[in-house]
Amino acid sequence: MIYKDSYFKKELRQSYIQNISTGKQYVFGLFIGLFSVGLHLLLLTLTDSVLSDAAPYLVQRSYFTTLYTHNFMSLFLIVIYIIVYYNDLTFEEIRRNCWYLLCKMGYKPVVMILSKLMALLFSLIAIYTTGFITTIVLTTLLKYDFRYEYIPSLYFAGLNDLLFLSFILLTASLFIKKINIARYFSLLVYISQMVLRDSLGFKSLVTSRVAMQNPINLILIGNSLYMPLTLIIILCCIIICIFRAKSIAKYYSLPTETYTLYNLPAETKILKMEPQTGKLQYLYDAIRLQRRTKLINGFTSSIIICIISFAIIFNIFVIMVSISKPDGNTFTGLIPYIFMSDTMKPEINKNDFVCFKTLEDDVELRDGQIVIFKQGNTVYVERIVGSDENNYVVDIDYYPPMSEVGSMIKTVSRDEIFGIYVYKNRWVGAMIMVATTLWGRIIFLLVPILLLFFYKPIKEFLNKLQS
Amino acid sequence: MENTSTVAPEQNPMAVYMNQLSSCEIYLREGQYRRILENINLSIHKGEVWGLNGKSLLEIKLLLEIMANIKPYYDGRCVLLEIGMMRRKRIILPHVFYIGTVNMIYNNMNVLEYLMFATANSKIEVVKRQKQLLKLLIDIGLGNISLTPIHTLPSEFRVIVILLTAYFSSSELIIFNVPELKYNNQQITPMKNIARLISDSGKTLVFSSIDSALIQEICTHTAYLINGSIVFSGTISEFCEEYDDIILTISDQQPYLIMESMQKALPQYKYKVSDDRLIISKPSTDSRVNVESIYNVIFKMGLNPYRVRMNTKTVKNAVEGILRKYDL
Repeated sequence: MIYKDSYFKKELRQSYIQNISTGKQYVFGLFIGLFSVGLHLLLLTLTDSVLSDAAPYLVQRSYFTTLYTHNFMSLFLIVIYIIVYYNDLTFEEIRRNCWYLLCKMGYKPVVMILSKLMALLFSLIAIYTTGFITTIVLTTLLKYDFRYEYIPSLYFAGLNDLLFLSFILLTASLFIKKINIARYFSLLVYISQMVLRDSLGFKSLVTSRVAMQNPINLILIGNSLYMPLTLIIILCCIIICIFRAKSIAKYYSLPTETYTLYNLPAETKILKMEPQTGKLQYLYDAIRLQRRTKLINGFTSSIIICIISFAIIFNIFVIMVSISKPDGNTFTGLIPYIFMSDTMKPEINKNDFVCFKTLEDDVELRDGQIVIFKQGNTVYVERIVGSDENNYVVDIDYYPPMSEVGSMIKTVSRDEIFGIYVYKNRWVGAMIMVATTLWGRIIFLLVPILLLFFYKPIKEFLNKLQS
Repeated sequence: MENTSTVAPEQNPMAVYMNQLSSCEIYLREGQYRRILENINLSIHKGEVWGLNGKSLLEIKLLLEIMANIKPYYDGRCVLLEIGMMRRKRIILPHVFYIGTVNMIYNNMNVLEYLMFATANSKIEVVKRQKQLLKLLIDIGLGNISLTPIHTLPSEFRVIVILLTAYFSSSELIIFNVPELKYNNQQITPMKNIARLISDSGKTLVFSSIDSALIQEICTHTAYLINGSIVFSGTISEFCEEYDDIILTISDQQPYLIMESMQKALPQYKYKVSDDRLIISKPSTDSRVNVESIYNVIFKMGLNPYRVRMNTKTVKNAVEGILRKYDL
C-alpha cells in the first residue's frame, strides 16, 4: 500500500482515531437518523400533554415532524461531535503547531485553509444528508402520509443551521486559545443560535407547513431575517478564517505554560518583565493555582451532586405520586395526581400534574371549586355547581363530542369529598410521563446511578478537560 | 534525504551565538527576585550536536525557547546562523525548526504514513519515496514502529518521529526542546542515528535534556546550567574530564573494611560506598591523581578485592561532580 494522501483527504477522515475511515461519517449520519426517529417515538408518548400545546409540530404523526426532529437533533449532536473532536475538526491544530511543522515541510497555509474548509463542508453535508435520508426511510416504515412539498425547505433550513454553527465555531477556534473555554463557547453559540432563530421568527417559519412548501420563503427577508443573516455571517467567517489562519500559521504557538512539570519549590512565583516598559506580569503563582484548582474541583463536584440529587429527588417524587392513594390520608396534607382525562378542560388538561389539598372539617366549600371525591370505589374530580346544606351538586367542565351533556352531574355529600384542587403544573406532568417510559427510566434512574458509581473517573475526566 | 559530508565542525561557521543574554522571566522567592536566565554566553557551530543540561528543567527549556525566537529576551545578544533575531517573536524563522511539544504530530496516522504526508512536497516519486522512508526507518532502528498508529506510541517515540521529519526539512538549525521526556535504550538508538544524519548533512541539532545517558550517546557538545547561568560549555569529553572525578571503583563483599584501610593509607582521596562498591574520587576537580599509588596500596595491604575497575568517564558522573562542586 502506498500512502499518498493529500491534506484534503486527511481532513476528511480527521476525527476517527480508532478506526480511520471516511465511511464512519455516513455511519454517524445514520445514527442521527435513527436517534431522531427514536426521539420522535418517545415524543409521541407525550401527545396528550403540555407538549401538544407548546410545540405541536413535535408530536404529530407526519414526515414534517420526523424531519423537523431530525434537524433539531442533527444540530445538537453535531455540536457534541465538534466539542468531542474539537482538536481535529477546528483550526485548533494550528495552535498545536501541526501546521508549523507542515509549513516547514513546504505546505502552503492558504491551500491548507481552503482544503480544511472544503473538507468540513463536504463532511457536514455528508453526515446531514445521510441522517436526513435515513429519517425519511424510517418514517416510511411508520406509514405516515408522504408529502414531498416541504422536504426541500426542511433540508435547506437544517443544513443552513448546521453550517452557520460550524463556521462560527471554526472561526472562533482561531481566536480562543484555551480548549475548555472553546468547548463552553460552543455550547453558548448553540444556545444563542436557538435564541436567534426564535427572536427573528425563523422558528415560526420552519414550523409552518404552509410556508415551508416553498424553499424561497426561507430567504425572503419579509418572512425572517435569519437565513439571509446567517448566509452573510457564514461568508464573513470564511473570509476571516482565510486571513486569520494564514496569519497565525506563521507563528509558533506556545502551549499553555505547565510550570507544574518543573517541580518548582513551593511558594515560587514567576514573573515576566516587559523589555520595553519594564512592567511586571505574573506568569505562575503556585498558591493562586492551588486555589483555582480547588475552586474548579468544588464546582465540578457541585454540578455532579446537583444532577444526582435532582434525579434522586425527582425519582422519589415520581414514586410518591404513583403510590399516593386518593383517599386524603397523606402526611403532607396534599394529594398529588396525574390527571388522565379531558373532563376538566380547560382548567385541567389531560396528563397535567395536579395537587389537591386534604379537606379539613372547618373549611367551607364554595361553588366553582374543583373537588376530588369518592363514590363507591371510583374517584371523581368535578366542579361544584350548586349546594344544598351538606350536599353538593358537581359536574365536569368538558363533555367530549358524542357524549350526553349533563350525564356526569352528581350530588355528593361533604363526607365523600376529601380534597380541593389547589395547584397544577403541565410541565411536571409531562416530565413524570417521560419518567415512566423506558427512556425516562434510563435518564432519571440509570444516569444518577452511573454518576454515583463512576463519580471519581467522571470528576477526573472533567478536571482533565479543565486543565 | 541524501547525506552530505561536511568539514570538521570546529571550522564551521556559527549556528548560534549568545552573548550576555538575560531572560525577561524572573523568579520571586521569599521576596527575592532573580532572573531565570542571566549572563548567558554560548557559541554553537554548524554541524554540531549540542545537549543542554541543567539542574532546572524550566531554565533549559526557556533558554532554547529564546534561542528559537519564540520568547523575547531582556538583555544581551542572540544571533542565529549569523542572522540577527527578528523583533516579532514566535514567527517561523525559515532556517530554524523548533520542536517544543509532542502534539505537533497528527495522531491518526501510522509513522510511515505520517512521514509520507509530511514529505508530500518532495520531488521524489511516491513509490520510491515510500521505499526510501521505510528503509531509513529500518536502518535507524524505527522499523518496529513504522506501521504503528502514532496515537498508540509513547511521547518519546512521537518526538523522535518529529525529529526525523525535521531532518527532512530545509532548516539548518533544529532545536529540540522537550526536556521533560526520559528515553530508554530502544529510543536512544534511533535518536543517536537521527542526530548523526542531521550532523552529517551539515545541520545543527540543539536539544535540551536532563538525561545524561542520552547526552552521552548522541552529543558532540554539552552545556550545563546552574542557577540561570551556563557553568560549562564545551565538548562531551571536556565535560567528563573536568567534572567526572571518580578515579576507580572497587567491588567487594566487604567494601566498608576496604574503605577504612584505604582512608588510613590515602586520606587525600574521597571514599564512598554504593551497592557493594567502593568509589574512590578526587578530592576536587582540579587535584592531581596518582592511580598507581592507589593500586600499590591495595596490593601492599593485601586487600585482594573481588574487582577493581578504572572509571570510564561518563556524563552522569560528570553531572554528579558538577552538582557537588556547586554544592547542590
